[in-house]
Amino acid sequence: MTAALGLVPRLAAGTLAALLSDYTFRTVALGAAIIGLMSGVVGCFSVLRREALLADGASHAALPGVVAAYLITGSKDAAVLLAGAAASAVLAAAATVLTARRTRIKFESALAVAMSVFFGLGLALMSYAQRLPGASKAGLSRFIYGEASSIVMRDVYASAALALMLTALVCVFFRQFKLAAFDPEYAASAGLRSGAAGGALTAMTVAVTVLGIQAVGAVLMSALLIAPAVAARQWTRSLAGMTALAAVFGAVSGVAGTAYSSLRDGVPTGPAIVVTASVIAGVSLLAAPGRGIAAKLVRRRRLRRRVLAADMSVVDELTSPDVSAVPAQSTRPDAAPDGQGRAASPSDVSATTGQGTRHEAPPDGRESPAAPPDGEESATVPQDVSAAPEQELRPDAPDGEGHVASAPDKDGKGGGSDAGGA
Amino acid sequence: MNTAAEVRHLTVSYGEKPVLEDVSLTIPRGSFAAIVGPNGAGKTTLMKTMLGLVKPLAGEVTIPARGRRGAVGYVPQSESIDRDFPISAYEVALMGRYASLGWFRRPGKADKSAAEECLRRVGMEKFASRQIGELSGGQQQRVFLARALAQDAEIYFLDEPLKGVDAVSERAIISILRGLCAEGKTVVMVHHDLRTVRDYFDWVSIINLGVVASGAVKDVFCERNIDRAYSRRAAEAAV
Repeated sequence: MTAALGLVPRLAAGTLAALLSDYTFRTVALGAAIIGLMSGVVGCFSVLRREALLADGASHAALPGVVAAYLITGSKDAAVLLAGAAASAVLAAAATVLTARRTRIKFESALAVAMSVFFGLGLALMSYAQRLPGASKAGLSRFIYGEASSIVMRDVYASAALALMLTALVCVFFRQFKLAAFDPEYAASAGLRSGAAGGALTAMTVAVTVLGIQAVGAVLMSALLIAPAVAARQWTRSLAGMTALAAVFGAVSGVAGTAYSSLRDGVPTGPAIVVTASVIAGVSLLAAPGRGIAAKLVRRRRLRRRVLAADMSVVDELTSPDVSAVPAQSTRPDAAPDGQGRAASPSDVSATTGQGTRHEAPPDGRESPAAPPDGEESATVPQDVSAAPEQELRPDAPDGEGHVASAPDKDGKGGGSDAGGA
Repeated sequence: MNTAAEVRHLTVSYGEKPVLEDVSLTIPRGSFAAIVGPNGAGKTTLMKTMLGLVKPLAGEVTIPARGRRGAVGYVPQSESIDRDFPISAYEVALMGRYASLGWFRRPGKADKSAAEECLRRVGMEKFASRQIGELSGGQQQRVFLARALAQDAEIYFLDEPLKGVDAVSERAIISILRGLCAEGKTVVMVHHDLRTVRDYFDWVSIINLGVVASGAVKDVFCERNIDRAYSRRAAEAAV
């Protein structure tokens, strides 16, 4: 049993060692990692600027350029083919922008049309080109689904150079990019040329997209931009953190996807990389602390239990027979009515304090008034609250602390409405 | 009169119908000016055109202070930003210093303490490390005001900064803006509540597609002008 269990990691380690000693794999994985890294960085800005769709358009629109470049030059050189890809991506982008500006068609619709027209044209051109002698050896179809194994050392150098340039740009002008992504109108009003920064970001997106289609393919390239960024957003509260994390997620996806596709014959690299990135994004959406779905559910349940406990203690107090029915029997006739109530039902005191709810009151306090009426909405508010340091919460939650403790003591008419309406 | 902003024969259109038509007005330096008018009168468009964010079909805007970068401060409506952007209130306030930094210099100690000070002035210092999306609309509004203050502008444009703001915050914001005017800065603000115009402002431009009236509050803010601005729309609808 234990031996069998031990075998799995040993086998995995063995295959990993075998993979790493393989020159081709190392080259391909390195190339994919670099592309993943760049996609992660650039993708953050695309997602935050709501330009993710543009990347999708650019990658699809790159296809006819690849085939046209091959048909015109007859070259199988990746550099030539990618130059064609870039040309048609830019052409499609120009057509989209012009359409959106000159007609009443919205940008998204124009992009969708340009994207499908260009991609369709690419597929048509490709089926024509495939029938030409020698074309099948050019490996044009790799640009649809991606074929990382076609990456050679020269491609790695080229993309490493681009990655270096891009990283340097993002580091030096991070402030400008942040402002251009967050509030371009403000930047323009202050006399800062956010247009230049925004343009640079768009250009970088297109460049990375086009470069990536060789490894990941035109169909799925945009997912590699979006998924790492979405995943990274779940774990961090700063743009710098998000960018760095997305770079790591992208690079890991590149390597893991390449490894999977090398181990399993017939699985194209592009889908393998994108599936890896999507799994990371899925796990992040579910399990990230604070923003994750699981964390939200836990907080909601905890809140519900606390509100219920508060309600129940009120109910106990109201229904407790010795409070209203026989006040005269009290040993202390001069005691306040609510004082009696508490004395009469010591169980509800322990219900509020014993569960440790009192301990949790500050972080959750803010959601308590809002939660019962609109559950969905309030679930998004407290998520970040609990992540914030405790002392900052206090000023914002004046009614949160002690709310539970005071609810039972207030006029007994209805703890439910009290908790909801406050 | 020392002019802080001048608009001459401005016409703006997004589609075929003009949003603003032949708008001309001046705003004197050091004044606390309101732009009022009914919904859809073009108040925000006028402000954005004055800021250079919207290109007019015709006419021109002159803001002498614009020569210096960062001399024009802008507080947008809080809904215009992405609430999910990973950025803290402090970082937003610090953005106000960017204009004076140039391309390569990083924010220094003075910039950082200026940003903190401005957050304190708007009463948001305790929320400095909060994410912008965690703040209420009124709190976001105050953070954007802190950013504009950090910029140390000559003329401030605010697009309905009192929208969704409680009475206490409203008083705080107004007193900050008055303080700016006392320093000789100009504040131009899109405003909705006609009841407070007399209390808050010394200059008012009443617009509805065109300028109905523009001048000192005591001169032009009268029933007749308000009626003209607010009933034109009703009259048009009736036709």
